[in-house]
Amino acid sequence: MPVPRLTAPARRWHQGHGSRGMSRIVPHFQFRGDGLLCGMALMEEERSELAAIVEGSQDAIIGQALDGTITSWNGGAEHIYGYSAEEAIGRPISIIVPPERVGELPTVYERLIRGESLQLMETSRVTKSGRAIHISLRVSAIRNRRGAVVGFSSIARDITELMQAREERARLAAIVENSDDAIISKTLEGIVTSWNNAAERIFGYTAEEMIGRSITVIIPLDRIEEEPRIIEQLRRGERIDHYETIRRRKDGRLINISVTVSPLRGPNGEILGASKIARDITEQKRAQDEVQRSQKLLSDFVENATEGLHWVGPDGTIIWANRAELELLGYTREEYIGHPITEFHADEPVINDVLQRLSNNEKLESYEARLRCKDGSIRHVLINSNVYCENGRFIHTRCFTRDITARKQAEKALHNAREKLQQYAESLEQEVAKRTAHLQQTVQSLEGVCYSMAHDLRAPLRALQNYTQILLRDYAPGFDEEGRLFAERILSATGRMDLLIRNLLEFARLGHAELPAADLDLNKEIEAVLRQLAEEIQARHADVRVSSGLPSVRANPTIVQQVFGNLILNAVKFVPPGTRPIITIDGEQRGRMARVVVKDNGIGIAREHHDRIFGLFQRLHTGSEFPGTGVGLAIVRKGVERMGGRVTIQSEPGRGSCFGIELPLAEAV
Amino acid sequence: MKRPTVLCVDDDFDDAVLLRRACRTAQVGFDLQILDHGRKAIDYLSAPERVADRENHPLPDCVLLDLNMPLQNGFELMAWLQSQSGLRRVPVVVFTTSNYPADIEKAYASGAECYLLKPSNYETLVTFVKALNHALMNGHDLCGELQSMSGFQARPFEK
Repeated sequence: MPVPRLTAPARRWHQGHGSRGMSRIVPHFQFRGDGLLCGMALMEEERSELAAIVEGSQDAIIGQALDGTITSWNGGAEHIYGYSAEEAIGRPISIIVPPERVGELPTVYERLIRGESLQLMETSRVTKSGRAIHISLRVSAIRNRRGAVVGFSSIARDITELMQAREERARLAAIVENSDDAIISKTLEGIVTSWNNAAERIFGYTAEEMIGRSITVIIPLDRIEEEPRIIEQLRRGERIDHYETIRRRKDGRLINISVTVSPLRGPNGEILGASKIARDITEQKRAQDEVQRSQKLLSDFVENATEGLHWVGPDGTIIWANRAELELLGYTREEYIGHPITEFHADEPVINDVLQRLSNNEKLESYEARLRCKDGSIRHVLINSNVYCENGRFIHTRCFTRDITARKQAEKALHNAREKLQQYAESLEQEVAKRTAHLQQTVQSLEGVCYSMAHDLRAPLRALQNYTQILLRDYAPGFDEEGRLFAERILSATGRMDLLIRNLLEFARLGHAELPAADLDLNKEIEAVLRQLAEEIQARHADVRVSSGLPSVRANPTIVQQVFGNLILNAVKFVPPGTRPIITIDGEQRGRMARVVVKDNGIGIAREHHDRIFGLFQRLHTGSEFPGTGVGLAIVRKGVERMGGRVTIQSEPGRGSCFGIELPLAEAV
Repeated sequence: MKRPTVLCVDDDFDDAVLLRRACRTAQVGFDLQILDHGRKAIDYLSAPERVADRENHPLPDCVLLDLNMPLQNGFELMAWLQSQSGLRRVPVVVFTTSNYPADIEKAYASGAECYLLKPSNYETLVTFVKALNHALMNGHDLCGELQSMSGFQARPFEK
């Protein structure tokens, strides 16, 4: 196997700057070409030792002629490129160069031939199987003893994995840099070792400011004790997940963060430090606080409502109730919530109806019900309720309960008061009835007294009259003129007194006596009156003309006779001296009333006296002109009015009078 | 022929005197017995010694009865008369000063034959006594004879 001849082998490997970077490891020996020999017999021994070293190298060490033909191919090359030495030697180097890199080769060769020394370069190659690989390559010129370039040697190392690792690392770094969350690493002493963009943004410090400084820079003083605790946990290998805390930005502003801290382990699993991912949750926290606050306000409002509120689930169980409702009924939350609502209603049919209506999705408005309190008392309430549904599913009732017990009690009190009032009114009525009856009795007994008085007063009068008449009749011859006159005056006076007593009695009786009414034929009644007055009518030669067809009336016969008797008597009496009284009585129907007119040719009554004459004891003339008691027309008016009728008058002095009597018509036709 | 007897029950002394005088004036053919008390009337009509002595206490052909009397009034006497089988048919003429409708009604209901107000006029009283005499002497209906008298109170309207 042809092996390049090497001189002055250098066995040392230098390490580059990179801590463990393989790329910086450079072999430091030199090819010296065929003719350059340093020694003697031991040279051959060194040569074979060197060949063994080359052959055993992990790096691909390839020799090639100036035209690019491969002249040597070690085990490393075989391993890296897949071609065996037999397959590769003698073939052009281009078999391992990807087409896009073939153009690089002449430039490299020219520079080497010119004597330039080339830096380590990274390029790509292709293996026998066609796989692209990355290599780190150093190409050198091989010179003969005269220094002419006779070929090239190259040492290459497969850095594909290294490149991939590098890419992976770059990708991870990019992810870290682009993360919205702060990603920080620190040592167990709390010294920051990495600080990404988001950390800069969230905390306001740049990576330059923070790397190498203690993480406590961003911890507020009142939370400074958190750090040793976290470190302690990390030392134990524990992870801290979504720990919510507060940190201080560079500008002093405090922010809420959620932080996850994990231990960072070395290759042997030892804990070297910590990685920390922090998220600014200030906004989130603020939103949460806002929601919590509005929930708190809402719940405070609901709890402190004066109206009782509760939810009942579809199974009839109380799911929730506010304080007002619990206080109204006196139950604790445990005694109320979770129990069937029916337990608390005094009237089973009522709550069943309520639940039935609600499950039919009806709204209840001011529905009256009675609830049972813990102490056994009953509360009257008005219920407003409807159902809260989600996607058509009955979630719970929204029930508003208003206590109207006080109102109910007031209503009941009012009702009782009314009843009491009613009772009072009834007893008052009874009392009035009793007293009225008593009064009636009194009146009746008074009436009795009046009659006995009249009787007793009239008895001596009658005796006086009769005795005087007997005196005048049988003993007149014994009297002189004056004696006879006196006897006559006695008679006249007693006559007036008798009339007065009778009239007063009649008038008094009209005020209160029961006056039963009947259908009366007025013609017959007036005939009876005329019979009673026959004496007076004859004495005055009066002409009384009664119309034959007077209407029938509904009236009391006694009063009717008194009324017409008085009117006729007046008509007969009040005529100018020497005039013959002419009286006409006529009648007609007027609607439901009968109107009877009594007309005379008497002295007449001046208009201004028309009202007066119907009053008691109202007289327009002296007793010597026209004797009378002043009671007659008062009896007429009072009598007619008591029978539901009325009296009118048309009269002028010297033209006679015309009295109109209206009375209800007879009921029977 | 036996003279008819009129029994007058009236507590008023003057009325009794006047009635007796009117009878004399009218020269009536009946005997007038005047008692001033309902008790005395009952005694006259029912006491055994009176009943035994009908010669001096003949049964009346007519009772002239006042209403307002002390102790026993006219109504009570009428009620008693109605309760006596032998006296029920004796006609009673109520002769009173009361024209109180209730009294008139009650009197007729108690069995009065007719109802007459005592006249204030002596001549009227004489006329009444004459009419009474005429009816009794001729066996005429009392009511028919008296109803044209002034002061006569007809049987009241019945509902």
